[in-house]
Amino acid sequence: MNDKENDPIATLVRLAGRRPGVDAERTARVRAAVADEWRASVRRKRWTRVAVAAAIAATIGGVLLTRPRSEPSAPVVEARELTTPGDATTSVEWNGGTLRLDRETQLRIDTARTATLIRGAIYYANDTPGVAVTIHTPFGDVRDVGTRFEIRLRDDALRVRVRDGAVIVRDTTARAGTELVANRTAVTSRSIATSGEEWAWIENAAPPIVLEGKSLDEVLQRIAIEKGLTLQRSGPDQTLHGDVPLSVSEALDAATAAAGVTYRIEGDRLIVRGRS
Amino acid sequence: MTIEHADRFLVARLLRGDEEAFTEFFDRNFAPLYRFALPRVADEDAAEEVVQTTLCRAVRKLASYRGEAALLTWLTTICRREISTYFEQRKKVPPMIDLSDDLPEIRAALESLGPEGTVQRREVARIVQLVLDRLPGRYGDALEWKYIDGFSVAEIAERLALAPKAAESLLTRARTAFRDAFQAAYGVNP
Repeated sequence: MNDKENDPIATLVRLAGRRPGVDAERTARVRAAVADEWRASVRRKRWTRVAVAAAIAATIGGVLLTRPRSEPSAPVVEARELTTPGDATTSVEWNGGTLRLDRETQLRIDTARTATLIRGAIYYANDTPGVAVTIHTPFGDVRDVGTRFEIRLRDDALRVRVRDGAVIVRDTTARAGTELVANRTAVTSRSIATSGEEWAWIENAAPPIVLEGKSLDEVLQRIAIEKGLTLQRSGPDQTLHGDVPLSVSEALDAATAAAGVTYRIEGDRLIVRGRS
Repeated sequence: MTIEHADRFLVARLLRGDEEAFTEFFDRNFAPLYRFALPRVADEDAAEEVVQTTLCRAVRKLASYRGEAALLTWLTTICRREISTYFEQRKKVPPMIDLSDDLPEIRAALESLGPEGTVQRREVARIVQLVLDRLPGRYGDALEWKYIDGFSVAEIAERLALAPKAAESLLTRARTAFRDAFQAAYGVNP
């Protein structure tokens, strides 16, 4: 670095002199007022989240805890509805998988393994082999056969996008990277990307990631799945730390920074390398 | 991590109630915002009031920060609105001050003044301080410590809790950021 007398940056900074500070008493007054406001805001948000989570947990709990009389593998329960407002998404556990609801979505849980999509969009990631779910819609049933998929209900049709595995819609099977559109009379299919902007709401609705005690590989694999990418990685594994719940993108930044590796996304690949 | 990513990360921690994140948020932004507001309201108590309202409003709507601009830029936008409200509520006229850091057309006029030497020294000093305030992270502090206080790289590293190599690298990035920002604000290479 050029630090001689003729260094123009050094000259300018010296010429300007130190930036004026703010009186300590004034700073303390504002800090206290803003901190109070911030803590109150965090408390308000926390209670809102707790209330929403409690309502959803009560619904799902009701579904899972009710024991059937006639159908042991698929208990019939009192119908319960999950609804999201226009400014929030949510995710809940269902049948060992993750069920996410986009904004302005209404879903009725009919039994432990079946639900009816009334409006909006859902994404289901089935992480339990052998447990299949069926989603009823006005345009036909969507039957999961071990997969991750999105169902979006429109006024005139049903759209199903499969990220992984396969689903069956009115006798038509859609495999990974396929979109099916079913209206009253026909089912059409086309190939789609399994990552990108159209899947962004699913990532945003993902449960938070806590790094503490997890391996770098485990975290990167989860991030790749959430983003619909294939992980390409070399280098040794390591244990991560940090108990702050992070979004998927925050976790990617934090985990790679902590592990001293770099990442880039090329097409549908998440490439992670050690720093050169 | 880019500046916007780092700011989004900081905001995410704030939303989760992380006290250390609040300290970082306040320490980084209060003084630059106060220095932004003071010449615009021309009164220390008024500047305090406006900045406090700005920061209180900001912490209430943190969830709407999308990381599309640096956090200080976002806060400055809120601060501008609070300054307008301050004068509207009091039915006062804002003082006539040079807002060269505020409006592109005034910035362009400043650039048209010509070579560095024809502009008054205090105006250059004001813009340099403004640029230092707008630099990300601790870049502005690091440059002051280096060139005004005369601290060594090792001393700066200690203040920033970094390894000397990392501090040296930070100073290099700070110089580059200063050069770019000064050129944008003033229209000439330092």
